[in-house]
Amino acid sequence: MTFEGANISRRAVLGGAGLAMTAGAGCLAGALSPSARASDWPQQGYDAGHTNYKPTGSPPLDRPRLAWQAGAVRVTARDDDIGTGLRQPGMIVADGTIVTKRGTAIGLDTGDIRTRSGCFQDGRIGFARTESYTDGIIVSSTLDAGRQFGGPDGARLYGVRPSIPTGVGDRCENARRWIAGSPRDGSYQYTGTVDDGTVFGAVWPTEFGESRGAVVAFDADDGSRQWRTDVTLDVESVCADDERLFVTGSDGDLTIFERGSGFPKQGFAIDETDVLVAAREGTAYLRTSNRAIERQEVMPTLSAVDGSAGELSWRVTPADLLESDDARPSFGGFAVGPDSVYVLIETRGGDYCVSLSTTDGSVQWSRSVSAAPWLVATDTSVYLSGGSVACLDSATGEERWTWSPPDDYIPGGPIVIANDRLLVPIDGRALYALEER
Amino acid sequence: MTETETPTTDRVTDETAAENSLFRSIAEWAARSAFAFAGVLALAVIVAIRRLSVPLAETTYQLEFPYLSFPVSLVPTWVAPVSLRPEAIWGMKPSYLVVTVGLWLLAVLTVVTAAGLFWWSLDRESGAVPPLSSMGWLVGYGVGAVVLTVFGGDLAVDSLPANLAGLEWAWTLVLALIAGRLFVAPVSIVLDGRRPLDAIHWSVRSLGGLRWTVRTTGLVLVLAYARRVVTAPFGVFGGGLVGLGATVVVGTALVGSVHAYAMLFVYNLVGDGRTVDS
Repeated sequence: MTFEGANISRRAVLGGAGLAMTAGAGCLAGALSPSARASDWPQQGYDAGHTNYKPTGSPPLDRPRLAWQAGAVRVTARDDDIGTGLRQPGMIVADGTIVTKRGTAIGLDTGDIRTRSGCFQDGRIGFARTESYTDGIIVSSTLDAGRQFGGPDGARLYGVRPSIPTGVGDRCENARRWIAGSPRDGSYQYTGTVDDGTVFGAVWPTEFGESRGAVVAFDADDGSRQWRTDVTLDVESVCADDERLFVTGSDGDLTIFERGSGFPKQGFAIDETDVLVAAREGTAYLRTSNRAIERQEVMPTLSAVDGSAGELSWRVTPADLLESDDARPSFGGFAVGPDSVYVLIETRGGDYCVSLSTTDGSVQWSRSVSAAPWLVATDTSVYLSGGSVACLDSATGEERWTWSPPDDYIPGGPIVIANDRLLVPIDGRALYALEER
Repeated sequence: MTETETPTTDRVTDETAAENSLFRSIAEWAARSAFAFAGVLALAVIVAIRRLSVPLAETTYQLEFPYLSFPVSLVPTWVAPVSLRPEAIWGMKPSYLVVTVGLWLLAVLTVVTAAGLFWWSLDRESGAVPPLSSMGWLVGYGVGAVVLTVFGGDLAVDSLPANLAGLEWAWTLVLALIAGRLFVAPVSIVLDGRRPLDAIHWSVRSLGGLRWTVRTTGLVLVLAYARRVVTAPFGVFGGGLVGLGATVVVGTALVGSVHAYAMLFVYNLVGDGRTVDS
């Protein structure tokens, strides 16, 4: 719903109308709200590149203690999609509140459950800061539209106010601020990645005769389309860095777009079984999907593609990293820092966390671990979850601590760093917050 | 001297009358086109709000269920394939809120003013200049009408739990009944010089009885449905500025004029309408 031909700037309208209606109305234009916090974890993989690497915050370095636990919270993602663009994020953290993929809101400080809305299904959610709203916006690929559409309507991409309805049975659509590109960008949209002020998504070819999909950038404030580029593929994964948008789909290509305009810069042939997992500082990181590995189609690989040169930087296999003779290793969680790539590898003989150089893929350290497959990293530590929770020194791989819940629950699900807290989910049962003892 | 002055005075009077007549003719022509001008301004308002990145919900006829819906209005209003929904205002920064609501109200009030000018232009007994005081009261009435429909419909009814969603239809019917009984009140404000409360009393009295209630309520619903249907070109033109302009300007000119004319028609049927009782 872009009205082409009306090229008036937002600031001009706000300033001009503001002068007429209220002195200084345009003064606030341009500032994104709410303010960024060290506790923020706005989307899958933390940032627009899905790096799972968070340089801010101070999660526990020494043996942690349980800060709080919230019961009956469903946040777990599907294990088989871990590390891929298809993964469902378990939760986001924004403005001091945790929001699960089902729409349950939990106070970060105390763990008190503020609302259980049931407005979202198992779709993707993200949080974007906005210019025109004080509280930002939750972007969701599902929203319960009530009886009008006969149930949850998962065919679009919605902008929802963070103060979502307070209980099951409330009308979730009343919390909806916009439908992305409303409504002619196709029916099947999903969030690829969210960056301040912009939502990058995809339109899948519809069953109504539209044969081409598209990559689309939306304004987070109103869901209007900033640009759209048609593509021939079914988009599966989208990651962004400061300048580029990386996209992989079903046709075995990595396509790189200019982030600001959507202009395709170049394409790069990849294995059809490869999926894009992260992007950082011009480099795209791809890995063999676990589904292909399970089908025993290929030997899994992990590779880095230079987005500037459009060429392969390096490619490694688990055998290169572990010197293991396991015939069917698979990849778990994945994080990319400025100098290192951290990856979990699951084998029949046990799980390993490996640190690689971002430059050439060489092994910096490798460590047998007790927690897998979830992984996030900071400047100083690598945090693992699955079975138990573990913290490794990011420089050496040495184990700093391990933690198990006080009950018989088994941690499972994507962990999140929220300032000084480490949030550890347990499927359908609870959410734990760990902090420095 | 007197003999020579009389023809001069007559000539001056004739010239003045001719000038007044010309002015009246021009004013009438402009007033009858007022809904087109109001549509242009409404279009400018929509584009401006859109450029602020304030979400506008699309309400194009063929894209929004249910097809049989009735955006009832108590006054002639604009045709818009996009609408500023209360949900979009929640949490808005004050500067954006003031500018957005201000722009939206500007469009609403312009259309209401256009209705007033339209009625004035079709009334042979009105003066050469539109009655400014009455126009002011009409604008106040229009604001009240918008508040009633927006807060009553969009906020109160839409906030009901999902299992009470059927009350939307009940609210639409109630609002249509209210709009039906008040159908000629805004005309009376302009042409009779009544204050809004007096005009409301007069309209309710004049349109009392089952026959008029059914007729005017039905008319309100037909006009509301027409307002929805004429948004269809927006979708046909692909949702761009051309389709938006065509829909808003032409739709407002057509439906606004028809709505205003229907009100005047009923007003002329239900009474002498010339007794200022305020």
